[in-house]
Amino acid sequence: MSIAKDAYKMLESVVGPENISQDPTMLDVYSYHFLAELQRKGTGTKFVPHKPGAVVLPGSVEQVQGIISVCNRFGLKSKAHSTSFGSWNAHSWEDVVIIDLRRMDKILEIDEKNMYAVVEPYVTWAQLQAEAMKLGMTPSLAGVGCQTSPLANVTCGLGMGPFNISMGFNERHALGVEWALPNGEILRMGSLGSRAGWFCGDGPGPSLRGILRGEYGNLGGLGVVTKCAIKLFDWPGPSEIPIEGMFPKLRLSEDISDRLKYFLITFSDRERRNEATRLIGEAEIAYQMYAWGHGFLLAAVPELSHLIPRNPEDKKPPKDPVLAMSLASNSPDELLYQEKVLMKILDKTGGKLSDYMNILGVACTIFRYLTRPDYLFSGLARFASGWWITLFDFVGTPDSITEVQKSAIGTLEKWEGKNILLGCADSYCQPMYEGAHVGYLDHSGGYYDVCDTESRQSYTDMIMEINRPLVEKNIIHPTIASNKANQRAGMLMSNFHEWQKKIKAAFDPRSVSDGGYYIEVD
Amino acid sequence: MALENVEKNALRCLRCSNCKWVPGAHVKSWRFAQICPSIFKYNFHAYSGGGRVITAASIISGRTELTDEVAEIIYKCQLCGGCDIACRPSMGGFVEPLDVIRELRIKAVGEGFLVPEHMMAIESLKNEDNMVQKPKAERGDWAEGLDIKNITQEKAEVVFHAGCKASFDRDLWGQIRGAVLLLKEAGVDFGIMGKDEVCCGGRAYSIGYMGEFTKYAEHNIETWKNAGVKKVVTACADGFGALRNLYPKVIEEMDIEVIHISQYLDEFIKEGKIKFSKEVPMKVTYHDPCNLGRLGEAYAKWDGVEKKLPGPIVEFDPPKPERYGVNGVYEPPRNILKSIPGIELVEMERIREHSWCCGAGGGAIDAYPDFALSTAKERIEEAKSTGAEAMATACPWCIRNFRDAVEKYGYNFPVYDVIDLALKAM
Amino acid sequence: MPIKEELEKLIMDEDHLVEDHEILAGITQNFGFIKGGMPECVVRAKDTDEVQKLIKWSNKSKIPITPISSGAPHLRGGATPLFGGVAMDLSLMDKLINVDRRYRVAMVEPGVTFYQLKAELKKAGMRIPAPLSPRKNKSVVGSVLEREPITIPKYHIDMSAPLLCAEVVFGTGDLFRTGEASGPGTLEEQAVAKRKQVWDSGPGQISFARLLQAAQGSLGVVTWCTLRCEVLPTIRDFLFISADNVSQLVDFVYRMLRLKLGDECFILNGQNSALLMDANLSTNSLRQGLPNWILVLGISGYDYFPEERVSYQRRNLISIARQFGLVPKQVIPGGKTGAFLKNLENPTEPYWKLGLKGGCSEIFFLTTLDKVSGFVNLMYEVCRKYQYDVNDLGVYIQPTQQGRNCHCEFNLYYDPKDPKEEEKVRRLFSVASDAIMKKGGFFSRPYGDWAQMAYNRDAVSRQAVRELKGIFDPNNIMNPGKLC
Repeated sequence: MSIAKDAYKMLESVVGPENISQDPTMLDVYSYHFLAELQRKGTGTKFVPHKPGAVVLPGSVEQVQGIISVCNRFGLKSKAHSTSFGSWNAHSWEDVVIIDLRRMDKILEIDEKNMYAVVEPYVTWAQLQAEAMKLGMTPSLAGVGCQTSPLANVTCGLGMGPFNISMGFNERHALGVEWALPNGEILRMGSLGSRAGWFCGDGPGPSLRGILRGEYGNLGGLGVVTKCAIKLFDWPGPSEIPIEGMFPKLRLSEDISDRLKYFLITFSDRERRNEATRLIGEAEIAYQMYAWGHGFLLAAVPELSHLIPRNPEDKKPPKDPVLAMSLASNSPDELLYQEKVLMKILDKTGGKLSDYMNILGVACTIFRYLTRPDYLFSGLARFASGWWITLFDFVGTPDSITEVQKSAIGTLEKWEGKNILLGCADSYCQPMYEGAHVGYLDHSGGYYDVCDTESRQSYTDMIMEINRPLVEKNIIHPTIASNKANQRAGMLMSNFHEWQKKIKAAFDPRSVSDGGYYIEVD
Repeated sequence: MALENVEKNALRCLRCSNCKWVPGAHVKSWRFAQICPSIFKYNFHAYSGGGRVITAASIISGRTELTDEVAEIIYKCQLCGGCDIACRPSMGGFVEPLDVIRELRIKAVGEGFLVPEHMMAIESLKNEDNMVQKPKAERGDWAEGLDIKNITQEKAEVVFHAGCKASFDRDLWGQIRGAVLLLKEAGVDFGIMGKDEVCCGGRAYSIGYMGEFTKYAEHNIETWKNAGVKKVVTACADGFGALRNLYPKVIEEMDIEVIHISQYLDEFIKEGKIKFSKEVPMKVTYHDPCNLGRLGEAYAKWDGVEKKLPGPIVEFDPPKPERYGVNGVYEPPRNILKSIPGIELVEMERIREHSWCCGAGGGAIDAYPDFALSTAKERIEEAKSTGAEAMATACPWCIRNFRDAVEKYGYNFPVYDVIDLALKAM
Repeated sequence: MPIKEELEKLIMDEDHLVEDHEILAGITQNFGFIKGGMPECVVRAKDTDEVQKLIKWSNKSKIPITPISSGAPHLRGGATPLFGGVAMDLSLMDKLINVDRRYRVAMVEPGVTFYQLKAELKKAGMRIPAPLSPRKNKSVVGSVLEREPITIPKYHIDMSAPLLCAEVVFGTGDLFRTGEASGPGTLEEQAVAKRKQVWDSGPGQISFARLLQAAQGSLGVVTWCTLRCEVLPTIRDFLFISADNVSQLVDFVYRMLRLKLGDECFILNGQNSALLMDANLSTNSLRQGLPNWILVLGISGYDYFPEERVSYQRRNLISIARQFGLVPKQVIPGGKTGAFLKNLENPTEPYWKLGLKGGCSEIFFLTTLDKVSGFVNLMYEVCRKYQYDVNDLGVYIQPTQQGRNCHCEFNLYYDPKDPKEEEKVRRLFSVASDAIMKKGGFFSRPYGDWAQMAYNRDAVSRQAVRELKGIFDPNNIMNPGKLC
């Protein structure tokens, strides 16, 4: 906590005294992040090793610009976040100025005709979808949780979710963007900069969306996005989520099957299941889709979690890979057609409708996870208090996904009982993108007890053991999206890290954006 | 429990921010999506349920320490339990933010980080047996002329506990006088304690004064048992929550059933003991008091341990009680309203387990009146957005705070107790 | 040493170095009124290695290079060198490296044309979402790098579509691969793992492919790219809706795009419809018999129950159209429907935009569908002011990004051999462009003078693009003077 007094005073004059703090405990609260407990050079808890210099709450892009200006002047680093779920929101150095974007929480506009909404950073997916549904629309929610930020997800984060099959990967959903650059400028991307409106994020000329994000966003390492126009899509369902009751007894409150049909389908093996996704994608019938390992299904759906063995001698659960998906249309004959095609494909690939859907509550949970993912991921924590994905950064064709799954399963099975639930080695979440041209493999089945050092250590050992051979065989690429990871991965991937450094140097010459999860020049 | 006993809870916070929001599936609009009044007003993450859990982690691990500034963070919270309900679907019994915040307060009091306004309330409790700084002697004035048994002189199986707030606030007497009239009408053999009634102690607990709370809990139970009481009925949701949820933490065997007047009245209506003969043409929305609703579930003691299973799976043995707020009192007040001829009940978006707090709880009304009133304002805005002409609720603290907010912010919006409306119909 | 000698040392085949004046003039010529400097020669690079050598040479010699992949004539002048130098002709790099039905992807070199690619894809049971009837020698790589709009909005999931990964030699001479192609492993090693360069994001936290698009070759030269292909329909059907005013069509188009009904969806005015029926159009009679506006809707059936798909889509489209007071028909009233449909799929001879008078100056920009009518009226006004017969004006409205914006194009047909007419159109072009920009038209692909106009309006973007130029082409040898 040693930023210069003058710097603090200037920051205070930018945001107002009620919107800045240097209180040690307050700052410590901002030093606590999901997954930080797994960092090799961390504290062993979710507290990151470095202490921030101050936390500020700007209320406008002008205030953000003011903060950046102060940072440039005093050589301070800054790191912005919104809802901040994940260690990539953490600062990576001492005395970083944390920019908490909570006060920038408005939905500024919904253009129904042109199908987009303009949002600020602290709007959540649930809020945006709730408003869009009133107009018969929906954004493409991220699976990580409806309490997270669409702006952050689409512009600065990752972006996979159940709607990607029909709506595309979330990286594609940014139109016009307002972006406070670390050099002090405010870049209004695309048509916005030409004062033509929010409808296009690309141009004039080369699309600057290219420097906004790639496979991942810049994760706070290159300025602060303050507004974004996000695509909306048709939603043929009711104007509110038709749910009643309270967790864990949530139930669908109305029959929506005349417009939305939900399916849970099992297959005898992953090849057939992945083939089904490919064919369903080609047929352009699916509205929402997740392919899951059976282990993930049992873990994610509380109504089924009792099937997970608690002891080695307990009955092993099934291993059939599953597909959770929906068909959707306002037109009855379109829905009929879609279902007919689906049944034909299932016939061809051996898919069977799962009896699980007859269990009370399961249908509602599947609907929720595909429509408004609430506890799809965060709920996994209830097993051991800590969990995360084991294989990640992998996007590929359905066949290459099968290759990864086949290559990894042997090692995963060895970790059952230690950091993988018994009988649940096949525990991945696999959204398919864009007509199943590609899919994302997110092996979400690794667990650890946050409060147990040995449990955490063995989890990180497991990640290494599973990832390393896959990278060596060129099946997946190495971890990216941190300064150090990018430097390592870049050497195997066209030296992208060198270009990313040049971009960092050009747009952040004084390195005022914390590049810990992006890249640093030196 | 000491704060160190919740160390694991504190370290297991996921930092997912679920604690700030109405559970996702229930969000119906941008406007009414938030559940935590504290972060709604103060914005820094430390002011959320998760933020206070992390504060506890920071203090327990010695990274930082309790200061006056930290105490302010801890106390600018109504202990409404919204964060707790929102956290549980993810974390189950691993975090339990409400318990962690309570422990923080107990530690703060124990180490002398005292809020002056709370100190005054506790002084009042010690001297006058109430936390509203009124003379004890006036406590029974509300019951004048009602001819009700006094259980300090005669035994009764049912005691009506009026509560500090309503007893000393003339504006709220209608509610408790109405309650006892209804009990009489229904033929219940009950008594009151009049000027000998003392505070339930719930508010003392909520601001961290465990000792005072325990003292009052023990006193009340002993007094009631000595009077042959088997059932205590109250019209105060705060009191209801204290009696049902907090007392069993310190009293081994209560053996006294706790019910809210709305539950009794609901029964009476179903049994035909109370009938409504007049129309009350009004579009009304109902506010679920926190301590009647999500925090009104019966307490279930848990003395278990963590056990590790292969996976790893960390389970509680025996399993911790599932406390999602679903067993609170939600239907009876609504049933009453629906039974009143002419009343059209419309619901707000944030209801039942994810109701927005009235703002009065957790000591906020004493120490941070602006915070309490701005919280109430948010609720009134929500109530008005339904098109309702008035709001009904079932707690004098809620009513007081709402009415004060109506006055401060210049709304034209009546706030009633369910009992007020029931009496209008009789 | 003269340039020719230096270049001959770099390239294997001296036939690949051309100094023919006519060819050089053809490169400079354009209908975008861009005055270029004639290149000293054209080098026909045959592979990535030569491309890289040439760019490295250019960095050393400081002689600029302008990459060209499509054949002449060049309408917009993106490939017109402003400062002479060397034109790098990529047409010899015409390998269709890979066509994969299972993964719906094709890998092509820059010399591959739509004509070539469509034929090969058809054999494999696929199609490529393509622009409106491109000319025969139009490079596919060139087109996707230009972010040309495609005629099937549902496949336009992003402004970058259908571009996936690319191999590029940056202006620095560095070889790079974008997206999944970047690694790890060679393409052959990736193939073993069933990775087919189908994922365009990255690598890392930069979308390099996006930076290359609409850069007019000023950041680097793409030596191959992968393209997202789609399943070839087994049945095709079309509906046509006529209207007197374009505004009558807009709400219906919005609705069908929202519901993702149909495939092809675009609007042409009578003039452009006529030209697509008969590129040699020499009389007005065909045009006069056509409606003012025609909305073209394609419907497809795929592998499963294709007839049923076509049937319900047709039914739904007709039903929805009727709700908007529109009547879809199976033929174009007063027109040659068969010829029209044939020319949608096959290049016309001559190129349909040049058949009328020999020259076509295009003004195109992005807007939203609800504003199109306003721009059309504006254009009519400017045409009248400059005494350009509005009946000669071509209009093409292409919904893009699945309906979130639209490409609005005005085609000013003129005789380039008539200096007076050319001058009139040049002034009209300039005034109209300015008026459109002021009205809110977004020139996302800023050719020629549009670059200055667009970047004057958006100085921060200009500076950002300059930074990119400084990174990827620090010596400013790639098509210098373009953009900003």
